[in-house]
Amino acid sequence: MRVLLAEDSGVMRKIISRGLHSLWVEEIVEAADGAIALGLFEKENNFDLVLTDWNMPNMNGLDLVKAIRATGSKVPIMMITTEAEKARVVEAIQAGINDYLVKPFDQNMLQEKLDRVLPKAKS
Amino acid sequence: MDIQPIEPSHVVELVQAIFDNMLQMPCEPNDSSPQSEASFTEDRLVGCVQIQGDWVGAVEIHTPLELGRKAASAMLMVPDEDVSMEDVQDTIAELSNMVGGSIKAILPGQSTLSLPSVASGAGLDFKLANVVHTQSVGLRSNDTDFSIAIRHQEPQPQ
Repeated sequence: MRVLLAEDSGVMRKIISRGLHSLWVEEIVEAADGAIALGLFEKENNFDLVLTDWNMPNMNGLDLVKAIRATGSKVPIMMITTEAEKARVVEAIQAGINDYLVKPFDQNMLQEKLDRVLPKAKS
Repeated sequence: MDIQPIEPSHVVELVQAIFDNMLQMPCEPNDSSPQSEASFTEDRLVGCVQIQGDWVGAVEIHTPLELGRKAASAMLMVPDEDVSMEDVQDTIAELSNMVGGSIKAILPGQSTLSLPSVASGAGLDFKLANVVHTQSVGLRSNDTDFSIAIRHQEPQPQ
């Protein structure tokens, strides 16, 4: 299983990667902003899951989700963000995300969400 | 301009939730009035996110470097001595992002959050332009004082 992780914070990339490794994800490809993530997605186009932050430099997570969906891809996408307002969650769902995790979260919440979205990625 | 300060106990609860979830580090309100940020001579960090929209201003975390190091160590689950300055700055940036995001969620109207920025050094004097009201909330974790500053700015004409 290959996961694309778009997150500008180095510590958050480490925390999320740790959660993914504990769920036996084989390969995590990290991107520090949405533009890099989109470049990797278009070039490699073989990811089983995309995890993205919302607020990132160059291209934000919402635009990344829209750009991935515009390619016709149905890859599961989960947004992990501080954007907690209902209107923002709705906006992300309309853009095409499959799941949403609001920061702050503890390891159990992260594992639970990843567990939920990973079976979709496997099927 | 009618400025409604955010209930300090609400700010404390938001910060406690972030410390509990992300760091597994307890923190408590510190009722002694927060010192002027510029008065510190020890190495300190200031993390800041700006909020633009129906509410305009900024949310800052002011912390001694030592607490920043403990927070990074807790967040990354590595010993203090294995934490780099980049890890510490990144941790304070992310904590500022989470505190700012949590506060934005309870503000009236719609707003957007900037990317976080972090400054570090001794005797930092961190000033924002057009501030019309500042609210400081003191907290304490690991026997170390830190504070959250919420600065309401005058909206600028478009």
